[in-house]
Parts: sequence; C-alpha cells; structure tokens
Amino acid sequence: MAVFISAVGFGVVTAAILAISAVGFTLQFSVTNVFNLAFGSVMTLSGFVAYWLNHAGLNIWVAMAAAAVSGGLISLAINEAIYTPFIRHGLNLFGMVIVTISVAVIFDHGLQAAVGPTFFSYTAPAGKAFRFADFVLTRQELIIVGIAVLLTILVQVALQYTRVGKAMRGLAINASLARACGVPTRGVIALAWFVSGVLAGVGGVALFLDISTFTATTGSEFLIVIIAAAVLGGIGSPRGAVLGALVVGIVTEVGAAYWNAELKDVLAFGVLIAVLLVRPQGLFSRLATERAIAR
Amino acid sequence: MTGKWKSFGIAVAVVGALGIAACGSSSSSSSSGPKGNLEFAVFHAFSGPNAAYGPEAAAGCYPAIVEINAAGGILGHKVHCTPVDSKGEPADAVPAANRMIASSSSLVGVIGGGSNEATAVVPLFQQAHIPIFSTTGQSSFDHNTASYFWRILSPDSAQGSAMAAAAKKLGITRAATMFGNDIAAQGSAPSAIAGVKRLGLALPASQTLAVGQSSYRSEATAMSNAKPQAIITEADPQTSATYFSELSQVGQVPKLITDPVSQEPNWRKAMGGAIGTTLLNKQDYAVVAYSPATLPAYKVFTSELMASAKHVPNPSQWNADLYSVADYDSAIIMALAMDAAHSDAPGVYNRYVTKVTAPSSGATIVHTYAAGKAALAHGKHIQYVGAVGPVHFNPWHNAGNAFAIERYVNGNWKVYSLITAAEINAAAGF
Repeated sequence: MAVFISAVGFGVVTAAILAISAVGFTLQFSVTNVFNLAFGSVMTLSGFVAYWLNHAGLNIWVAMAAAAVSGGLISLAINEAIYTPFIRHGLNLFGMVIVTISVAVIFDHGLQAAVGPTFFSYTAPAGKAFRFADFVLTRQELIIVGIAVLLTILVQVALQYTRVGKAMRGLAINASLARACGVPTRGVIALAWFVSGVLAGVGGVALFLDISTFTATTGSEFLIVIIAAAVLGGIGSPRGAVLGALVVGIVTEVGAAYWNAELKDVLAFGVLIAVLLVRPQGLFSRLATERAIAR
Repeated sequence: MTGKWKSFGIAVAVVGALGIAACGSSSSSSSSGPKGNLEFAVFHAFSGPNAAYGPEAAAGCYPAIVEINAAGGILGHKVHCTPVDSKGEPADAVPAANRMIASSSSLVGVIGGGSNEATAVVPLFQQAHIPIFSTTGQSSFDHNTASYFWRILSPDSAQGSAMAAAAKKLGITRAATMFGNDIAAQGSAPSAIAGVKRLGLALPASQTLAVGQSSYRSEATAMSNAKPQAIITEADPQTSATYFSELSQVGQVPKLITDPVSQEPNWRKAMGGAIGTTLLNKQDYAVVAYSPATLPAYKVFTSELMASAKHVPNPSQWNADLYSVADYDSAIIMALAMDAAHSDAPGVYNRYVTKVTAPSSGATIVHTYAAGKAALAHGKHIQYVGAVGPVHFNPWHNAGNAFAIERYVNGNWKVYSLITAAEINAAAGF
C-alpha cells in the first residue's frame, strides 16, 4: 500500500509539472486553432532566460517570473511575425503544423548552435524534504505543485468569469459569430498567445527544475507528453489538460512501481489510446460539443 | 464530428510522421575538401540527445590531422576532418552515410559510428569499401566479419564484466544495476548483471529505465529501499541526472560504478548539476580501458589536441577522454596504413591496417605518425603503439584493452586500481 501511495504521490508531482504546460498548449489551440508544435521551443527559450538570470544571481522563483514574461513575449512575437502572415494567406491546418515544426527546428537548432550541445542546471537547492512513508516531497516540489494549482485555477476562473475569458471561449467555439458580436478578435488572440507563452515559460522552468538538467532541445523532447496530456483531457479544455496530466503522471509512476520501468510509456500511451477509443473528444472536452452545436 | 475537428484529428495523426520527417532531415555536410586533399569523416551525432559524441570524436580527428599534416601529409596529400551528423539514430545515419559516400570523392576513412547507428551503417561502408574505425560497444561486432570494420576499444560486454569485477574489487557485497534502455547502455548491461551474480555478489535491484522521462521517482524510491552499497550504471546524461537527483532526494546516493560515459564532460556537467560535483566526485568510480598517461603517443595526442583549438573548442576537456584518444589513434593508423600500402585507395590500404599495428619480430615500434612515416620510408616494418597503448587486432578486427578504476581528483582522472584480465574473466565466466 505504501508503494501505491508513494507512486500516486509522485504521479501528482509529475502531473503538476506537465499540467502547467498542457494548460497553456490547450488554451492557445482552442482560441487560435493553431496546433503549435513550437510550444516546446518557447519553454526552452524561456528556461534559458531563467538560467541566465539565475546564474546572474537572481533567485530561481524571480527568474521563473521573468521567464514567464519572456515566454509570453516570445509566443506573441512568433504569432505576430510568423504565424499571422500565414493565417492571413489562408494556410490550412496542415500547412500551419508544418510551419510550427519549422519554427521549432529553427529555434532548437539555432539555440543549440548558440549555447552548445551541453547540459545546463539552475542554481536552486531542492530544500527541506518532507517524508510521508515512502513518499518524499522537497520544498521545491511543493512550491511547483502550488504554482501549478494556482495557475490552473486562475486560468479556469478567468475563462469562466471574466469578460476577456468569455471572449476567448466565444472565439474558441465560433470565431465568426464572436467577431460578429463585437469581440475584438485580434486582441483576444494576441492575449491567448501571450498567456500560453507565460504558461510555457513557467512550465519550462518547472520541468527543468524537476529533471535537474536541460539542453537546447529539452522542451521539444517533452512536448509529446504535454500534448498527450492535453489530448487525453480533451483538447481545448484547461480542466481537461489537468486531468490528462494527472492520468499520464499517475499511470507512469504506478506502472514503474508495479510493472516495468522500461515500459512506463507503453502503459501511459496505451491508456491514452484506450480512453480516446471510448471518448474521442477526450475526458473533459466540452469544446468539441460546443463547436458542434455552434454549427 | 465537424469538418474542422476532422481536420484536427487528421492533423494529430500526421504530426508524428511530420516530426519524424523533420528529425530525419539531416543537417550533415559531406562536402569534399580542396582538390588533392584527403578526407576523414567524423561520422557521429552532432545534434540530438547524443550531440556530444560528435565533438568528442572530432577531438580525436583534428589533433591527428595536425600531426599528419605537420609531417607532410599522407603521400603528399594534406588531410582534413569532415564532421557528418548521424544524429545518433539509424533513420538519420543511413541517409547521411549514403550522401557522404556518394558525394565525397576524397573520403578515405571514417571515424565513428557509435553504438546507436553502427549496425545500420557498417554494411554501407563495407559495400563502399571504406574503412570505418568505430567506437561502438555492441557485442554483435565481437565476431565481426566486415573486413572494413575496425574497433580499437573493448566491446561493451567486456566493459560490463569489468564493472562487475570492479564492484568486487571495491569490496562491495550488494551491487544494484541501473541502465538506460537505449542501445548504447544496453550493450554492457547483461554482462554486468551476469558478472555480479557470477562473482557471488547480492543483486538487490536491477533496473532498466526508459530514457528521457520527466520523472523516475518510483524507480529511485525502489532503488533506495533496496539499499545497495553500489550502483553499477550507464545511462545518458539527462536520464542519469534526473534519476540520481531524485534518488538523492529520497535517500542516499551510494558508490557509483560507471563506465567511460561518466568521463564525458557533458555527463559530468549534467550529473554535477543534479547531485553536486562534490558528491559526484566522492561516489563515482569510473571503469575504463586502461591507457597509461605516460605513453609517448598519449603525450603527443595531448599536445596536438591543444594545437587544435581552432576546430576543437575548449580542447583540454577531452584530454582524458578515452573515445577521443581512440579516435586519434584511428586516424593515425589509417594514415600509416596508407603510407605502408603506398596508396590512399581505401580498398588497398585497408589490408595494411594490421601490418602497421601488429607486433612482429624486427618491427620498429613507433608512437607518432612522423616516426612511422620515416621508418616506412626506410623500408622498415613498424608497429604503432598509440595513445591507448598497443593495438592488437584479432581476426574479427577487434582490439581489447586492460581496465582500470579511475577517480576524479582535483580536476584530473587518477588511476585508483587496475583490474586484471583474470578478474574480468572471472566475472565473464571464462
């Protein structure tokens, strides 16, 4: 039982780290309809901003805040400078996927050329460890879980109760109708890119703190798990992304504890496929349903 | 499902394929050098998770060509090194190798082909009649029949046995194992595990990790609960750093019995960042092929390495790296074989590789390219004793080494203890 409890606990920590990024990814996709595979690159770039500030003497949590802002600005800039012109030219979803992959390759390889093919670590002690049977949580992990919970609640509340959040949801369901109703689509889309970038920045630093060390391509290497969490929860649903991250995190840790550490991904992605067979729209997505109703 | 969502579904389906396609697009170059020059390809990963392997091999090739060119080149030809990015993946390495073979008329030899791609590319170089000096550790090459394949360093199976023997030598009675599930790490895992059992040590945990995960907390907890005195381990820098960082949080990091990977600057940087350099240096016992730093060729290597700073950033980081040292010897051996054959044609000089390395009565022992070239010019037989020591190729083109346990002390690797052939044989069951 102790093993199970600790595996679930570890899964929650993993989920919290994935959830921050998964929420950012899914929020941006739902509003803009751009399947942004350069999201991992934004995580990495922001992570490096935090690295440089951290090694200049800044506390890691302050550096994380700066990374969040820089992530938002990078994300916004990518959209304005690269994606928007393609969208204006009417490039379809497939074409945009290619563009986002290209951006990811350019950013990752460009950054690798600049910083070198080596590993980087933050100067941030894990802090005091809190032990509950086999389950050990460090102060740093507790803070990351707290940040994840806070951010996901903030996003959910903003989407549910604020004017701009409602505009985002409207845009996600039916962009034409939202525009006709006077929603300032350009501004709302820009905000969605910015918020997504902020979450990528925080998620990147949280991930890099968790895995201890990172390279110029680490963000992109973990993107598939982040997308898996978002798709499992229901693409377009921040709550779903959190739930998806929880399933991925707990299944991998319990799988490693009870089955075979080598096959933890097999188990997690097997569960993903099984769930999508039963619920193709994901566990929690109302967006697909709402979009269908709007048509 | 609406049209938009159908599109999304299809988009998701193709994302994987597109990603693979993107990864598969090689950024390697294989351009020929200036007319009349000869070319050694450094065929390794220069990007991706194993991106450090390429610079590591280049740190062997560039010092060699400094030495060769300073001695007047090979048969009057200057030599240069051409980095070619295999990305450490067969899917990328095969087209990169094919492009290189097809486009480079001055290519005379290949340095590289690591464990992750060697099986896929060695047949290509064999078919093209181009010698490849590989650092792969795969046991599938222990009885290699490809006449253009050469391996200077011991295979992973010998490495694994040596790691188990090292545990016994260190007085360990409970040794756990942790290996990544990639090809490179798996090469030494079976012989290490078998060696631990064969030597009568307890094996409280034996883990194979899926590399590149965001968390190994459950695995680290299981390892901590097993309470080993030492962990015999090989995994890539990212996996090792995440795992041991989490192990240090749930318990204590015991002695680490590692392999030459732990001497790579990237591995030490990642692990140092994860658990701290003090703890890493205290617990790490690297089991590596033994090459005395007093060897004359090794001194030449370190000197030429420093002279290669134009192409090898921060060259001193590689001066104790066994792979760089072996790759240096590989280039020198190929150059001497060409001189001995009076031909730079790969199909001709390949037969002379053993003639410049095998011990024989009356052979002049040489430690540098210049000395070997001069001796050959005077009609003498030579035996090159390189920076890794004597290189005795067996009928399968494999050369073995003695092993040593080394420790990182005050910024340098020091031999802590030698592992004898008898000790390795006991672990291997011979």
